Amino acid sequence: MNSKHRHPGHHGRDHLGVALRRWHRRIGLAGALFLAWMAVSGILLNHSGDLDLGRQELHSPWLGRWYGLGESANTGFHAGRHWLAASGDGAVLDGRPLADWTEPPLGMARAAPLLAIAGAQHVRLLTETGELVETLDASTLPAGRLRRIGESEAGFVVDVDGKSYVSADGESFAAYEGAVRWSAAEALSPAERATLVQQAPGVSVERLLEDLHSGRFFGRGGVWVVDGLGIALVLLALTGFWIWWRRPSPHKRRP
Amino acid sequence: MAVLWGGLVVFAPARADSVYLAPADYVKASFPNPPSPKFLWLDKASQARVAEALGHPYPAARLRYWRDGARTLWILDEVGKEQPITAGFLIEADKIIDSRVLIYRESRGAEIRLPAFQKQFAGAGLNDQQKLNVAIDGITGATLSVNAMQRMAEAALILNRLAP
Repeated sequence: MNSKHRHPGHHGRDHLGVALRRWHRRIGLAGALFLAWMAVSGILLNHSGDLDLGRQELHSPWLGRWYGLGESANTGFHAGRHWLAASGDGAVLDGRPLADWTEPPLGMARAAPLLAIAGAQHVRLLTETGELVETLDASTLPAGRLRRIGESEAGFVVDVDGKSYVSADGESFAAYEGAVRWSAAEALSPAERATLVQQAPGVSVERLLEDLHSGRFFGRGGVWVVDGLGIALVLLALTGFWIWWRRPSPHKRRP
Repeated sequence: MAVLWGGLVVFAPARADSVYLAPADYVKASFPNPPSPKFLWLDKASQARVAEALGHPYPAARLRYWRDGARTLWILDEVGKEQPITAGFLIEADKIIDSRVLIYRESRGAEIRLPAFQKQFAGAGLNDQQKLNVAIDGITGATLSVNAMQRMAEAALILNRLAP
């Protein structure tokens, strides 16, 4: 059978097949690098726990600026010879990052021999040499919302929902109505501010990979690009299936 | 002796915290007459033993626990993948008689709270190497949470031995 006797619709399917093959190649070539990156980053993220990527941090001035981490606080809290300031998601005490602290500090109080640092959900007790004694949380603090911390003659005082509770050692709390010197934010000295800049936090490798994998690193536009890549992959699969399904069968009769 | 509990489910709005049982309620439910907390002060050697069980430094110098005769209760926090898991362990005669996930903060893996998983810790103790003497079957997709629970169980048993 020559082309004159072929079904009129056969020409249409030929054109469609050629077009699909062409677009399949184009999409595949254009998306090859993206696909490779998505595969590599996906595999790394799948094993981020094994590789401990969440704990490995990248410190870079431009990365810090990109993530908005490079801005240092101008104010902090003072108690005796100690100073405390927010830094990124955590805090810095006497120029050293406060380990495992992920909330803005509300204040600091000194109740010798302890130093009490308050956040919205925790009070951390340290010795004056910086050794951790205990971290108090909702189960060991008076019930309610922690608003501020201060010093009194009887120990450090926490303001929970407007009521004051005093503790000499953090082991127990009692209602308190005496005079309290509440911890309040004060201007940091130039030396303290300089130290704070040096302690700016980094970005974890896992976080960077997640943001690059999802496109979030480049903002909303980046997310749309990755969405487009996903759609392109679907088209790749569909065109590929079509090409496979429409391939010439070795059993078909040839003219 | 296993302790039977009713289910109390309280959902906290902060972050993704799921409070299955408030720590204070676990203490009340564990003892007929809930005792006041005691405080275990850890020296460097004790901290090192706990750190070995947890697989990371344990810098806290003081840890509160509850005791009624030979029975002790420990409430510990350990990070699964990114967020801490709060778990309670009731120990008697050097063996875990009850364990419970109290607060779960991760986005996945909360299946470790289910009795089918927790019952594996019943009767667990320490072997000669100071490790858990039972094999814990994992849960697909919750490996890090399972591991955190195992580490805390081991640490609780070690702390029980350190407590006066």
